[in-house]
Amino acid sequence: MRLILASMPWADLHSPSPAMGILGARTRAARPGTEVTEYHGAIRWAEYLLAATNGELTPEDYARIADDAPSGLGEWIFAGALNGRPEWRLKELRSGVVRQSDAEIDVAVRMRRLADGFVEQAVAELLATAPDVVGFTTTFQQNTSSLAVAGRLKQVRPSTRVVLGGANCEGPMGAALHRNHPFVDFVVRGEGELVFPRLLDRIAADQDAAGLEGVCWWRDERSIANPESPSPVPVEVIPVPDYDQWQRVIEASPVLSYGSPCLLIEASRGCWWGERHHCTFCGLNDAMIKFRSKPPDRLWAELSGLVRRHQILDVFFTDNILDLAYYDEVLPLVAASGWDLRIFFEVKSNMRPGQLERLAAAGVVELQPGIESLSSRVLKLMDKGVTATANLRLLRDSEALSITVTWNYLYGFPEERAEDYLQVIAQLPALVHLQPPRAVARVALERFSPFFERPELGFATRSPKPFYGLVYDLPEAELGDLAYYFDCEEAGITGDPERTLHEAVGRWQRAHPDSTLVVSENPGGSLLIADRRQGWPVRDHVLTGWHAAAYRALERGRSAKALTDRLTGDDGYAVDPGTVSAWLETAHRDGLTYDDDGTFVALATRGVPLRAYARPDAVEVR
Amino acid sequence: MIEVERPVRLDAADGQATSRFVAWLRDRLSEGLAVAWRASLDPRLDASPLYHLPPPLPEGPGEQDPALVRWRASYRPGVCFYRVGPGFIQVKDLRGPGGPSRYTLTQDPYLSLFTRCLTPTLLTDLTEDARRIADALLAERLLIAVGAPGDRWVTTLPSRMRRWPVPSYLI
Repeated sequence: MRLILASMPWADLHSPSPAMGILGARTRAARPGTEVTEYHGAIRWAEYLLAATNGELTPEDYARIADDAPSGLGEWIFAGALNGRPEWRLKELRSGVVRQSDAEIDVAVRMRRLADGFVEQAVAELLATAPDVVGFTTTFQQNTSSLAVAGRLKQVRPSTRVVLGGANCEGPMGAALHRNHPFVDFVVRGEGELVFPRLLDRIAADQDAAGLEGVCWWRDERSIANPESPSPVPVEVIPVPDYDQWQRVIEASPVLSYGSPCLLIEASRGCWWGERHHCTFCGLNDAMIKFRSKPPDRLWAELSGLVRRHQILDVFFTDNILDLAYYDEVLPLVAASGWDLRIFFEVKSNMRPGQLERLAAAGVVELQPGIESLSSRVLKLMDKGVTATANLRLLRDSEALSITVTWNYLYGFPEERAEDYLQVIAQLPALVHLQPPRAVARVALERFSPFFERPELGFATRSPKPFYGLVYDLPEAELGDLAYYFDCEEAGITGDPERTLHEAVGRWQRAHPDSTLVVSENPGGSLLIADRRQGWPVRDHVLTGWHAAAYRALERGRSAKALTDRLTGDDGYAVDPGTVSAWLETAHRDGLTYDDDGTFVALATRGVPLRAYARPDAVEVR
Repeated sequence: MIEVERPVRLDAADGQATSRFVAWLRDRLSEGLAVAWRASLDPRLDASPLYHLPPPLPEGPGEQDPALVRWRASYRPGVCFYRVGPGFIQVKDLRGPGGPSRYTLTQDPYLSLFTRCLTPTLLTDLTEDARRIADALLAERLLIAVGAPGDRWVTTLPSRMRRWPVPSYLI
């Protein structure tokens, strides 16, 4: 059997597809006679754009569309090819349905005019090796490019079997994709490691897919959706991904010079926090939430093996959350290697002392800690299991360790109040030396999230985002099953507080490059806090005696009472609560602390990273 | 922040002193430290291969040395650096006008010469083979050679990326 696995636009250009890498390796192991090749359609499309426009449409244009999945623009670009009508919903794009700028829409329209030609090329390239089966993996905006190529491919060579799988196929989405696209022979819903080779067995034997868990298949002209497996795939079954073919393709491509190749590694699946407290907005499928992680020695072997084999030092972990066991059992091994890795990880922000240092020592350069908010009350509404104090500690301590923190400020939660935001907004000027959120956004309604599954939580009325109607020629009810992103009535803050939040974060983003607030230990036990934040007077605060001890104690975060107890207890100072409260008030007024509902946390950092956009004239010498 | 008290003379004729300072500056960048320093630049020295290192501060608002003005305009962290992996060194260089250059050094004599010249080395101390390799790395501006004939010192230019600038995704 000849199998081609395909990853179409809008997959990331500079990293391999773990789905192809894993399923390729798994198929070779389970069905030794199968010849498995890969089609890197996303890279081919980026090359096609470069060639067809004399280099005017670049991988940077590609990335802007690929990185904005909720806009649906990438899906729309292949919608004409999918529907066999080049003019399909062409004009409607400018009717305000999507929020993109005119310039971005112009780029999308230009790309769309090239989509038909690319689909023909992709079909010819896929069929050149006369495959028996073509397997498309679809995540984020890979539906329409995959479907357009699959549909055309079946017209040209109907005997080829088409299989669709990936995150976009989970649950009702996969069933809807199948029943509305008769040229898709099979859809695999859920994890594919076990069922995909079995499906290939059935195809090879010319049998139907009855009884294969999660698979959608055709009985005559009726789409049958087999129930999905209730038990997740054990990690022992997941092989080391095979990225050899991807590396050959990217290294020969003009796309390479537009970015840095990055390995994708999966240490775990699921979320150990979400198993107990599913964050209300998180769209992780319940069937996938069960946490499973690779044993530490296996993870280290996989990581070090892939780095050696591919000579790539950028590593992106696809995990939803870090297994706590790795702090002691994997990170020290990575740190001891002496390699200059650049690792990305998603973590939970409430870390224990020393954990952030361990991450940094191992080469974790970028974290996504799911900060989402700086109000403990709103974080509680989200069921995040962290406080604003923990979030601020992480933002503060990342500075001295040169860790990039990627986060967004989310709002619009049912039961949130304007005062939750006004308290935060009033304090944002004190935070301009810390890494600002990349964006402020109203929380999105995503399939599988508690907000979606339980309308009583506050989002009772919902409809698929309007872009789905510009992409698929399908009735609303079908779109409702096929969609992942939904519109709903607005909850939480609107109007003035919403506008003020956006403005305040904008000021933070603009002030950040030139702002520092650094604390250093002076001989004799005093502290020097050098305030060089935009919007604040240039000032050096010298803290001595119990003031210095108090500020150190606030690095963890404490209430006025807990601080007094600490000072008069372990630290042995004779100081009364009124005096401590008065000092706290002064420190807070000077922007040296953040007030999280009565818990005060110190804001000054123990160091400043080099800033990627720093200009030398911003360097100031005292 | 480290402050260098006296102005540093970058002298085309004094290969050893100039190379030592270049190596020192390169290694502070590797540690993620900002350096405040002032320069007296020998006009005979082509400073353009150094534009990935923290530039000297202006002497005053009227300072017009075009080489220093260009240096300050060109500099940002992460323009030319190397990283160590298992059995290889990777170099990324964004200084050229033609977009990024990437090199993966996997074998001697390139790997050993690149590493050896992290410490400034007299050109005349190199074997003839090593000198040929040095010429190739000089042509790519991965090394700099400074000094009078017979007293030329070669130094590796990329800094080791140990502390990534923030946000690292811009690099």
